[in-house]
Amino acid sequence: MNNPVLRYIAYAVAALLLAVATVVLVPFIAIDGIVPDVMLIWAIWVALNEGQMIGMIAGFGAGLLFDAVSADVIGSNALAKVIAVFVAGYFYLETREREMTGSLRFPMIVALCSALHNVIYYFFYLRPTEIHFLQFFLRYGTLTAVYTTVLSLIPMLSISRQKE
Amino acid sequence: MMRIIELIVRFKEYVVLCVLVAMSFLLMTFGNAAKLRGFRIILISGVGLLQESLAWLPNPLTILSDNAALREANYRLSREVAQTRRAVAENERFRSLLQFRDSADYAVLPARVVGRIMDKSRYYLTLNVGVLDSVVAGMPILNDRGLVGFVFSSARHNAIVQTILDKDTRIAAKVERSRVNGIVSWEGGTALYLTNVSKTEDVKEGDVVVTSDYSSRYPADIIIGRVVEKKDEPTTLFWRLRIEPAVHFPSVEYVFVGLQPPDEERLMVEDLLEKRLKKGDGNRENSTRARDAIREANRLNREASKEAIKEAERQAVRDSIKNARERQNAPKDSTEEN
Repeated sequence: MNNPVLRYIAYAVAALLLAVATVVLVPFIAIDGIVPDVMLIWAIWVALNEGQMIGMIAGFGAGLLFDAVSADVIGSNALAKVIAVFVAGYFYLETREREMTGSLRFPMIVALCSALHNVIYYFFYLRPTEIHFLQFFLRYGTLTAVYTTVLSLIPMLSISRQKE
Repeated sequence: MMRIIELIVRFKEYVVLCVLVAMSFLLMTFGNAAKLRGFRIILISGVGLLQESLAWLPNPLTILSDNAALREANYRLSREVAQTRRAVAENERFRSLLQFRDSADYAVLPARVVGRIMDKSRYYLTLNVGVLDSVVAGMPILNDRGLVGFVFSSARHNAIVQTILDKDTRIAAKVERSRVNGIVSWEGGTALYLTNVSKTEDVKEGDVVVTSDYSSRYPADIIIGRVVEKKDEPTTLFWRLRIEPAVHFPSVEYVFVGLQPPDEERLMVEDLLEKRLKKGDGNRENSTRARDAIREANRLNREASKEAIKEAERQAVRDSIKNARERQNAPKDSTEEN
């Protein structure tokens, strides 16, 4: 899609659909309460295709949307996703977007950003409680990051096949 | 100004990052505002509707764990149902026991069965009451259904009950409907027999058999059981009447001790008579002594001296107890050893 406006509209529609899927369908693939962060994969994808700034805005929007539909503290997911996508934006290579999203670098970036996202998110999530942060993060944060990374293989393989 | 704009353009990513982070913090701080809350309620309601519409979809990853949880819940609920049933049955039992206690025209003491001793020809129960509760040997044991037995021996805190399912059982009984008298005995198993009932007497299957006024050990009119079989044996002049005990002995948990010791004197005389009938002239010395004591009591009675009567009666009772103890020494010792 060469028209940037149409592209952004497509991103927005995809974000909406993914937000709904996250709260409605993702629980069906939960393993022992661990669910992948589909919205983060999408935001990183945008960052690697459109650059750091657009990615951050996409991440912020995705986070807000997720906060709104998941009854979470509004802004907590937005903050975590903005910072995670900001880091992902450093891996943006202009004119070589497909190279990044269609290779194993994509799940590696997702793993890194997902871990960072979970550190920030759980830090604010657990702050009002007496739950031990490290223990909780190791139990849920790392497993969520691993599951998100595994799920990010699907778009990567898809792009990889298109390249071939 | 231009330099500032230049700087912003140059570091626009950082500026956007700072702005978005600041916005996030602001939302985290003031995100609970009334307007936002209303918006969220609408969103969450919409999501709820979506989730509800997809609730029929099975989740393959949770089916196994759901199954296990449901099985566990099922097991737990089954146990609870069983416990409730038990509680209801116990409640009914206690209610009938209470009704029985209130209707009894003699003093009774409730007791719990804490043990059972069974062999081929005996069926004993151990109660949680004893001498300290005024329970002594010979006292009748009954429950709301009927006659259980009598206290065979009693210790400080416990008593042994000899049930009517015993080879030594001989109870003076009568058929409640026709007032026909007989003797209830046990011949093994869970059935009792009403003997010494002539074939000319009116007895039917289903008749209730109760203790007779002639019983020296038990109060009158306590239900023993029901006639379930009436056999005409051609070789004898008596009916063979099988009685099903009113008390279901394997399930007896609570009983009442009738707090009226048996008439020792009467017991002793009857025992002596029985012995004599069995052994011919039997123990002549004991029977003579007992007869003399009774004769003495009667003589004093005729003299109408209350004091003398009491004293003579006491003497007679003392003598008879002494004799009875001598007679029972051997079985008592063996019981205590047990």
